[in-house]
Amino acid sequence: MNLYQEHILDHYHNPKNWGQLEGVTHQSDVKNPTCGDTLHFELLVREDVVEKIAWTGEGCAISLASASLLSETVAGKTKSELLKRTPEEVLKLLELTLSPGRLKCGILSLEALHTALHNPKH
Amino acid sequence: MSTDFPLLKNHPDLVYLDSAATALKPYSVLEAEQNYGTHFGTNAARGLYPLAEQTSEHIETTRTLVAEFLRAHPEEIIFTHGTTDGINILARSLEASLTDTQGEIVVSIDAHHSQILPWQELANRKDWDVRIAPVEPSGSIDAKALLALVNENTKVVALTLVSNVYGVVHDIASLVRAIRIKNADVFIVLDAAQAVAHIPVDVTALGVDALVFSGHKLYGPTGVGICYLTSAWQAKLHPGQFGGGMVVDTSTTPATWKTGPEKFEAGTLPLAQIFGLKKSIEYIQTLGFPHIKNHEQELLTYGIHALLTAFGKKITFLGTTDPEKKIGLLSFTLAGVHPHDIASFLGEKNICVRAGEHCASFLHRELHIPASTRISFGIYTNKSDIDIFVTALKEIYTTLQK
Repeated sequence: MNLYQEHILDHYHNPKNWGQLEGVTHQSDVKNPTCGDTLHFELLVREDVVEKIAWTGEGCAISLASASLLSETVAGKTKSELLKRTPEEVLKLLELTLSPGRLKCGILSLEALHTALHNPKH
Repeated sequence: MSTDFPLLKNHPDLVYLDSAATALKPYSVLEAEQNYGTHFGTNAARGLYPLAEQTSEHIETTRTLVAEFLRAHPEEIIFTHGTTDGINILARSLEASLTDTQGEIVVSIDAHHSQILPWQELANRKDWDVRIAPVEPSGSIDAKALLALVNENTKVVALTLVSNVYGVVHDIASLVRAIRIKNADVFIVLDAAQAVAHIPVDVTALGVDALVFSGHKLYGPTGVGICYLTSAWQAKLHPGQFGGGMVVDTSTTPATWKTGPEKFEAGTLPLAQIFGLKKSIEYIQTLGFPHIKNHEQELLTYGIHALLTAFGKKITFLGTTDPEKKIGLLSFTLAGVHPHDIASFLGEKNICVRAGEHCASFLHRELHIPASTRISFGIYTNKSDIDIFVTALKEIYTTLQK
């Protein structure tokens, strides 16, 4: 399957919600040890609802496009809704079938989101 | 030459540039493995009936051939299941034999995990220290820095003849002489996994105590390897693994071990694979190392030129680009494109390259890069493989560069 389709490349070149937030309440730093991809997620959570998300990262096109696509589906959702998100749902956003070797690239964004939700800033 | 390799016949569009991971196997090797099952099929060194004796004879003939290949004596050749297995056997044997409460192990940073982790684990179990020796940016061993780490307390020096990331051939013989001046008793073990298919290896000239390699990087089968271990160290070391075929007397405690390689060969050997290994060495001998070297130098010169023409300063090679100093292997990074994207994109076009840390994470951390891309050549690689690779690499670069 061709991984480098237009929507993937578009999110890779022009990532949505890229950058930093004011008044971050939750954040995470995750790494894919096998290829060195890193993602930094920042959330603004009020009364259990994620109001805003921003992220930065370094890595392959798949992991960055995945973070961009996922970030578009987060605002307005409750923490518990987002914690129920599955890897399959993230892969659906990517519209890709990933080989076992690339799966971690595709779902690193979900790990970043879940880690952030469990990691309130004090 | 590619007609010798059935995989290339079955995948005519495949561009295989990952021979450092595993080399493809010629017909003769695959037929020999099958021949074991169809014409011999018996265990070695156990049976007293003719067919079992014939299997044993074939195994011993192969041992002699391996010894000739390495300029060693047959009794110094131990069959293993691969490089990793060989190093683990040595580490366990040394653990059982050396009782020193204090000790140090020196490893070079360009080593594969298989030549670092078993030693790190041994050091942990013994409460010894591990010293990691640097390499120069060219990929050559920093002999001065390594020697500075060797002292009278050093028990093991674990070296690599050719790194699987740099492909640079180290001057091990001089280094070994210098190490022995500082510590005459140290055990020096050499990982030759990336070397044996590319350059002649002479254990006597190298002067090491042990040397390991795998069959499958030598156009041979997976699941078989060789551990050369000098007779002096064989006598000194307690076995590191235990089972059938290695014992002469079990009424004593501990049991009385056989002498020679069998002391370290617990259990049934990978017989079919040893049949295949014999053919792989004969295949290499028929090709001849001068021919192999010429072939690889030509591909390296061609590949480096093509990559520099296409990418200029955007491409960074790891280590020297002097073909004279290398085997047929090139690792690089390309600005703005992640190695995994390169390997995936090329993979979609049937071009096999490797991306990642290549089981050399210590080196990649030192270089401050998360990953690199590696291409590596076999005797079946040709210039058109490199042309197809460079064209596809240009395509992914144009697509992903920021």
